[in-house]
Amino acid sequence: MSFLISPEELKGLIGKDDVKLVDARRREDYLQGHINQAISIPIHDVIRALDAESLRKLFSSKGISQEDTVVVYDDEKGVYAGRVAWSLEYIGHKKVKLLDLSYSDLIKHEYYNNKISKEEEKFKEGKLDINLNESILANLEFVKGLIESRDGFIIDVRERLNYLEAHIPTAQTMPWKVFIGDKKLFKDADRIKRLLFNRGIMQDSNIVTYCGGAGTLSGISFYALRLAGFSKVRLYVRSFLEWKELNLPVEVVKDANYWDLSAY
Amino acid sequence: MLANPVNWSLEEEANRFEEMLNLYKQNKISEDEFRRFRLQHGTYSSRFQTKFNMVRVKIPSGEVNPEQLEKIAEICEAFSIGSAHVSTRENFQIHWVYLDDVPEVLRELSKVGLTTREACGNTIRNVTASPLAGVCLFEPFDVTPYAKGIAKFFLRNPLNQNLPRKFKINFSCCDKHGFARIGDIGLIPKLKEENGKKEKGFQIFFGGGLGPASFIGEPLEDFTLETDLLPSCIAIVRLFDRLGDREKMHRNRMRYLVHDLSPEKFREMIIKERRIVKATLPPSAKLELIESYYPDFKEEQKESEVIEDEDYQRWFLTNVLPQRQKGFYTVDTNLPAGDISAEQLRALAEICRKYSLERIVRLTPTQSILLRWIKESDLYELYRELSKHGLGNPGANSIAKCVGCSGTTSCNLAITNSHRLAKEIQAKLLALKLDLDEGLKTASIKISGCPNSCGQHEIATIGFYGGASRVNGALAPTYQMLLGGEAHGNKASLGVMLMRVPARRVIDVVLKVIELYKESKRDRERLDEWISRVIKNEGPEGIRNPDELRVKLESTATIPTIDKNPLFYVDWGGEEKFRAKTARGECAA
Repeated sequence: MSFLISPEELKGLIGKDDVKLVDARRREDYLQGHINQAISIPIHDVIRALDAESLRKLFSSKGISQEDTVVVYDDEKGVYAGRVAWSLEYIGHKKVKLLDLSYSDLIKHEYYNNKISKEEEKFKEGKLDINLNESILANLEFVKGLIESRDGFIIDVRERLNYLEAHIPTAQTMPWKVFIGDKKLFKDADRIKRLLFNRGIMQDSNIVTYCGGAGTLSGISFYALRLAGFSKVRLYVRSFLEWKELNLPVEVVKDANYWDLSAY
Repeated sequence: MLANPVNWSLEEEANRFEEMLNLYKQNKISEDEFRRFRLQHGTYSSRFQTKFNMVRVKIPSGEVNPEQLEKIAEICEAFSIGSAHVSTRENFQIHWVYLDDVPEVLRELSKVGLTTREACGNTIRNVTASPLAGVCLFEPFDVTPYAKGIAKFFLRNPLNQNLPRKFKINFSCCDKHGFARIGDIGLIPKLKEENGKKEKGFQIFFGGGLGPASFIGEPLEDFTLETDLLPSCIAIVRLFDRLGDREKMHRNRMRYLVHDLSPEKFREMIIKERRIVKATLPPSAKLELIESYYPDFKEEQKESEVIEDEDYQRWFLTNVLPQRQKGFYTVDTNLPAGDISAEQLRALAEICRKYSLERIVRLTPTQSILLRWIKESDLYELYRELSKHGLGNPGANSIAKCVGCSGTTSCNLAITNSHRLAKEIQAKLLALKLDLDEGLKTASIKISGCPNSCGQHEIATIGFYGGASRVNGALAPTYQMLLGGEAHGNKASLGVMLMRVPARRVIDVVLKVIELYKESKRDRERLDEWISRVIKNEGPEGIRNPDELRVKLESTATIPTIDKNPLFYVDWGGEEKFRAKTARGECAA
């Protein structure tokens, strides 16, 4: 089974004991209405959990266990859900899935017969171990090493203007929306693959994605690349925020007033 | 039924671009060969960054449908800076696109029938039409089907693949509107009565164009029958192809050829060439008139309600024009210097579907977008919808609609940030509510970042083009100021040079000119009339002629030394000390 769960598949999963639905939206939005039986784990709580143990505590306190199939969703085109899913995978969870569309689209979907719920879901404390999956994390040392060795690609998924202004040396620019689908979470895998091939990036290349700071835009981009069959993708979860805080060197596109072209 | 939009695209071209890009990356084709190919496909290198490009999407007659607007929005977010830019030649420009991504962008564009083919390079560029064509109060007939037909005939036509230099065709809607006289070929629709029958035709102009040396187009003959439209255009293109200079890139637009030979001589040559074209043109080479959707409408005769909303009234006075179809209106979104965000593009698409009977929008040569066929009874609601998305700025049909080319925001040739300056001037004039001043409604301000006239400064009432001046060894961004230009249908004149103005003083100088005008204007004289009087040495006391006006403006236009005011040595939108840095342009490939 792919890591993406279609609305049809979701229908069969709701109600099973070993399936946990995770709503990654803000708590206020969850309380306004959510998918039946979904548990609220707001993205902000996940971002605040800075190490593996805090993550384990957070997820188990919300009732997630090692053997559960966890399906994460949001209403932000996967930007929250991707980061939550990645965090679970990072501490070693093996059955993490993403709902293949946003909440607003799901509740409009013909397969979604369940009415939304406003009740807070009750759950028991879960049982989770830590079994770190280091192969999906890019820490500072890894990024520096990649710049040094040139044995891979760093992808900046922030908006183009931010990239032009300053980025991690050698990084390429791919604004995250380039991966995002219209009704589904992602564009077709073939299109994503072609885009990267045209950039000279192969499916077995080392790839690091990063964004502005929280690892959210780069989190969903991480999954887009996985979908397209890129097997060595890592998320630089601390992203450009850390890089800037440490005053590390950046590349800038000089001598052009590109910001003044913006209509925002 | 809505007409099917024309499919300008050819899907294979994206694949071909991908192949050529790969050959170039593998060093199998030369830099020059790839550049020529790239420009032929509308892809122009960004300022000092060969990895980034501007992708110019050709919009014949400026007609865009809602699906195309949404596609442009998607492309902007995924491949560009989140906004698109409307150019003075009715193109959509998508800036700072990564070169490797261009094939994907072309694929996406082709899904909605849009092309970049021959948008740059030595080709016939986008065929423009006055954005009022079809609704204009003064037009004898709608030129849009002819403009699209001419565009379609020349697109990918072998005649047009390797001209000495770029070539521009502009259609006006009537004698009063449009840029017929500043194109290599300009066309104004005419009706001629013969034997009690009204014949459609055009007045054709040739050899016009703006640039470092500009010319107003010369009339070919009084009247050209519509059946002679295509042969005339082919004849002119062929003459240019055959006789044009392929060596001197800086002086090889057709206007130079026309004036080297003399317009009289060139006129005779066109007439002769046209005979040959007509005798030899295969019957299959015909002009196909591509009709736009013409709404089936009932004239609205409703008494209009008075709406007590000051902002709306201001917008109505400055952005809304009546159509020749009674009860319907054309509305200008007044984009600041032509920039529109992805979110705004999507909103505009929705608004267009909801309110425009023709269900398309039109890009304008003043870098804006028009919604047409709006019912009078919908205007207020439309205004509120537009305003929600920042598309309801007043001042579109006034001096506050400033044009500014992309300048140093992305262009290799630019010296100054003309783009930002245009936005700053617009904001200032709107803040002062000068858009409501009757005397300023027909005046215009246009700014280019270099002498090359993409901002069309020479046809502005007040025009500026960017440069640099040294003051005690320090370099300051400055503008050359021109006065009294215009291009309205069959009437056109080029602005005359007045003086150099520091970039940081341009707004003050504009306001000073307005102040002098107000002090000395005749009864209901408009600013453009007042300025043409000054140019003709018939100005008011003390401002008799440009020399006297210059004296009046000098104190406003002085540059303090760098230690007195360092801001004068930093361009708009910049933080660092100004440097006049340019790279090779790619216009002449």
